[in-house]
Order: sequence, then structure tokens, then C-alpha cells
Amino acid sequence: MKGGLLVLMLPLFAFPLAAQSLRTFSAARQRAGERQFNVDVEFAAGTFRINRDATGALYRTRITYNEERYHPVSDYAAGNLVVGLKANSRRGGVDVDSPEKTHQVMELNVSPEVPTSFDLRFGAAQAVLDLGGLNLVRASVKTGASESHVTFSTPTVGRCEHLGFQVGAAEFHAEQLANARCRALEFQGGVGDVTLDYTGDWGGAPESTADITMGMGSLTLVLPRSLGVEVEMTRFLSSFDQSGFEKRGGRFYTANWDSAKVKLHVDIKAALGDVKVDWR
Amino acid sequence: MLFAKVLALPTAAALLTASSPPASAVQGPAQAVQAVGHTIDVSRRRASLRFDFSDDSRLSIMLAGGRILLNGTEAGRYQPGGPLERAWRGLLAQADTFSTAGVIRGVKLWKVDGLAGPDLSAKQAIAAALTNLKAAPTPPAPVAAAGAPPPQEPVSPGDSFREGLGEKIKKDIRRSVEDARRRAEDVSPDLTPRPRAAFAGVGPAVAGLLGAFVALGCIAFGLVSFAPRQLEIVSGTVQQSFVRSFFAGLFAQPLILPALAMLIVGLILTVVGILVIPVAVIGFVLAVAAGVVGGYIAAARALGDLYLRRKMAQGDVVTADPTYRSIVVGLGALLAIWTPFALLGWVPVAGPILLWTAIIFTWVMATAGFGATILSRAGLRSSFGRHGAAELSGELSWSTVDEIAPSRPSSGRSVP
Repeated sequence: MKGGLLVLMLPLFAFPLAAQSLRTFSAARQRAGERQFNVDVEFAAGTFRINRDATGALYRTRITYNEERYHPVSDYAAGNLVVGLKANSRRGGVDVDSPEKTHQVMELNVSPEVPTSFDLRFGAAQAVLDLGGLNLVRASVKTGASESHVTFSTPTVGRCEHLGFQVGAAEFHAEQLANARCRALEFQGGVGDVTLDYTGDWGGAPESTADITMGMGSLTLVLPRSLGVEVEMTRFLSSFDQSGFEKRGGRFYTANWDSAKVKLHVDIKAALGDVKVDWR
Repeated sequence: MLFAKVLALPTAAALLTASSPPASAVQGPAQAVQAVGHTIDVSRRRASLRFDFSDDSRLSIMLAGGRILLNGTEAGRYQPGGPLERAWRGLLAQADTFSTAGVIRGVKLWKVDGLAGPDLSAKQAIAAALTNLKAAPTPPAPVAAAGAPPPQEPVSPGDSFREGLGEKIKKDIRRSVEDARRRAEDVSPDLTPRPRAAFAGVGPAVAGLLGAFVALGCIAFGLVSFAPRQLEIVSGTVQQSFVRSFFAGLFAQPLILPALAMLIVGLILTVVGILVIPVAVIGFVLAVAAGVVGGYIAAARALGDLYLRRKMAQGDVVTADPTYRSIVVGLGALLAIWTPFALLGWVPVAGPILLWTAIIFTWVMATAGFGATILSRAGLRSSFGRHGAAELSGELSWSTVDEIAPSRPSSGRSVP
């Protein structure tokens, strides 16, 4: 009985009782003829934002953190940036919705001039990433227990080859993915609500692929009606909203599939969840 | 009050002529080397500024624990919390949104009044380290770049005076440095409301579950204290006639509102009773609530009772008062059905399934408890419960546990 009670009461102790001590860390670097910029971010907890830099710098970052529990990391060498916020080994751990999580903030502004690859990893974080307008080559986003909003507010200017998302227990929204102009999107989701919004400007890209693997959760695809969409579905105890599609063979096609200027091939593997389509 | 004064006219060279720095001080970079990046780290323990140069060399200036470290080497000492440290922290706090060129301009214009002794020497060491500091030329900003406008940075003193704005800029910078220093002392958290994660409700849900457990436990202990026999009879009725109790509760539920309506109509017909209708309605609602809650607690006790009797039959010793213990165990067991929902309720699909499972289970137990309350006439009639239970207190009945649940089933003694 005591053990049971302790288990029930454990989550209460995860909330810190003491006042936190928020400190600041900032770093910046000017452009110096870089041909490639690789950004590696590991962010333990808090709110993380990425935006396009408007000052001519290669990157600028500013981190507000709780020095009692976390420490900032920033290292740049030869076009490779490693930056982020890590838990102190002595007092690490993950708090769900704790003050650290809501008050710690990391902002990263990246130059739109240099071809950039992102490798982003979050722990218990809320991420608001606007990768629009960047010279994007590749992006990999891995989240743990997080709420992430990835937006491409304006079309990217680079040649994006691959966009990868690995989402754990999370709420994940990717908006205006067409502006990313990536040839391939790969999504792996654990549990949670996921929205993949394919609106935006395709910029003449003839076709794109989306490889989506969903565990237990809800997936909403936001698709423009002008887009030709082919869906290949493998599901187990999952529902699929087939409105707007016609079935040919084992696949689903939009009526405009043969005539559409831009085509999207979607391969969905889903278990224990809903797959909904929101036509725009 | 001593605080940093950033003046437009003095240059770093002028500062250097005032006094020569300590021999141990790290000198600034060679003339050809340009700063291409910087890092500012302001924490309670340290306040550091690091420049990265185009030849991959670095210059770090750190104030920590009363020591000034230039590239990790002690170059002087200062008074912790004194004017130099306050001014340095204020400068860094202000500069954390600047570009590298802006930071260089800022530190070159940095001046602190009223320094003496070790603070003065330390300031001179810093100034010496910054002697040849020069920023790499800033590339033109992209035309199409959008977003927030870049922060205003300290302008060149010559330019400002040529434009006749020197005095205004001095005031602006002084004010902003003072603001920044205040910010550095107490970094205010970002209070912008954030979207909550889907699993953010786990903590409140678990806390709510614990709250329900504590509240029901308190009510149960009250019942044990003030109506122990009634509780035991209702509990015995649940245990001995669970199916009958469940159906009694099931059939009673749709009759609750008609019964209330009949009560009201009856009171109206008596004319005199019209006056007591509000009291009667409140009393009826309270009686039904007491019947449901009391029945649920009695069901919990029956469950705990069953579990503990089995444990004791296996030879385990129960040290605490068995009546209280059976209630705690039973309530824990009944509420445990809510634990999966509290922890995983945010998960799509699984969340609603867990919720409905918990609701149905709780409804079944509450219905059985309510039915047992009705069958036993709120614990006054023991014909559906354990025979003899009404005559014994909870403590005494436990002394005969071996008779109720024999520890050796092979002995052939039957369970009554």
C-alpha cells in the first residue's frame, strides 16, 4: 500500500518548489564566406525558437536558462555550430510543464545566405521553429516529450533534399510544408497529435514524397485541393478519412492526380490512430 | 550610486595611456586579426565575454569570484559586487543582443567612474586586452530579410558628434546600460503565455486523483467513527449480495427523479408542506448523494475487506486497525482504475478508452453501493448482509477471521 501511494504521489515531487535562477547566455558570429553551415542543437527543456537572421550574422543565439539545473553549450568551428542547453548531471531530470520548461528560452537566428543543415533535438520542450526563408539543405528534428510547431512562413531559398521528423510523445504541427520545397519528408511519430500542413508555395517543384509512420495517435493531413495526392496506406486498428480520394488498386488518389502540376506521394503506416484529411 | 558610464568620446587608447596594465595581462590580438564572433555568459558565478577571431584564436575575459581571467589566466582582482563587476555585468547584459561589431564598439566605449585600487587595475587589464580588437567587416544584410529589426548598437563617437547628437546618444546609452544592469540583477522570466503540451494535464489529473482519494478517505473515516454498524451492514450487503445490490441500484436510479417529483407533489397537496419544499428538495438531494457516496465507500470497504481477509487467511499479520485499513485498501483499489487515465488520458484514442473504462467501473461500484444502501435501509437492516455482522463491531469481527476465511481450506471448514 505504501508503495502504491508513493507511486501515486511521485509526480507531485517532480515539480520544483524552490525559486529558479534564470541567467542569460548569448553568442553570435559574422559570416565569413562559409559555403555550408551545419547547426546541431540539443535543447533539454524550455521553449526553443528558430528564425531567420536579419542582421547579416551567420547566427545569433540567446539563451535564458536556470543555471541551477542546466548549462548552455556553444561551440563553432569550420562551419559547424553545436549549441544548446543541457541538464547538469548532478540535478538533471525532466519536469513535465515545470517553470523551467516554460521560462527557459533559447532563440536562434540563422543567416538566410548560407546553405544550412539542421540537426535539432529537444527533450521536454516547446519548439517554435520558423525555417521559412532560410537557405535550407536538410533538416532533422527529433523531439521527446514536446510540443513543436514547425513553420515555413516564406519559401526557402536553398535546395532542400530531406526533411526528417522523429517525434516521441508529443503534439507536433508542421505548417506550410510546401514552402520548404523539400523533395522528401520523413515522419516517425510515437504517440500524440500530429498535423502535417502541405499548404504554401511549391515553387514549381514537380513532385514530393512523404513517408509517414505513426504509432498511437492522431494524424491530420492538411492538403490543398490543387495538389495531386497519392496515398498508400498500411494500417492496423486505424481509421482513414477517405473523402476526396478515389481508390485504385490498393491506393488512394485524388481526382486531379493525372492532371495536377504538383504531385505528392504519401506512404502512411499507422497503428491505433486516426488519419484525417483536411482539404483547403 | 556607482554605475557604468559609457561615454562617447574616450577611446580605448586614451584609457590605456592612463596606466600600464599588469605584466601578466593578455594582450589584444594582432592588428590583422579580426573578431568574427563573440559569446556572452552572465550567470551568478561569472560574467564572461569571449571573442572569436578570424585565425581561430580566442580572447576571453571573465570576472568570477573576485578574479579577472584573461584566456583563463588571472590578470587581476576586483571587489566582488563592487562597481567594476556591476558595470561589467551591465555592459554584457546590454550587449547580448548586439552583433560582434556592436559588442566591440560597446566594450571600447565602456568606462567606469570612481574606480580605485584593484578595481582600477583590473579595468586597465581588460582595456589592455582589448587594445587591438577589431571587428571583421559586416557583410551586407540580405535585402529580403524580414523579422524583427536589429537592435540598436552603439554608434561611432565621431559620427554622432558630427551629427550633433552626441549628448542625446550619451543619455540613451547611459539609460539603456542602467536598464540592462537592472535586468542582469533580476532576469525576468518570459511571461508570454505558451501553448500547453498535450500531456501537460498529467500532473493536475494525478493530483485530482489523490485529492479524491483523500476526500473519500476522510468521509469514510467519518462514517467509521459515527456510523460504524451501518457502514458495516451496507458493506456486508455489497459483499454478500453484490448482484442483487447492483440491480437494486440500477432500478433505483431512474426512479430518483420521479421520487423527487412525487415528494414535491405530495408536499404541495398537503398545502402546509409547500413551505418545506425547498428544505425537502435539499434534503432529498443530500440523501441521494449520501446514499451514493456512502454506498461507494461501503463497496470500497467490502473490496478491501475481501482482500485483507484473503491475506490474513494466507497467514499475513495485519497490524493496523482492519476496519480503517480495509477502507484505505478498498478506496485505493477502486480509484486505481483512474490511474491509467490520469497518466495517459492525453493520448489520442487510448485516452477516451481509459476514461470510459474508469467511468463504467466506477458507475458499477457506485450503483452496487447505492443498491446496497437501499436494500439495507441505509444500514439498518442486515438481512442481505453477513449474518451476525450487525451484532459485532468491526474489531471483534476480525478476531474471528479464521472462521470466516480458514487458512487451511483442506480442513473442510466451510466459509459462511
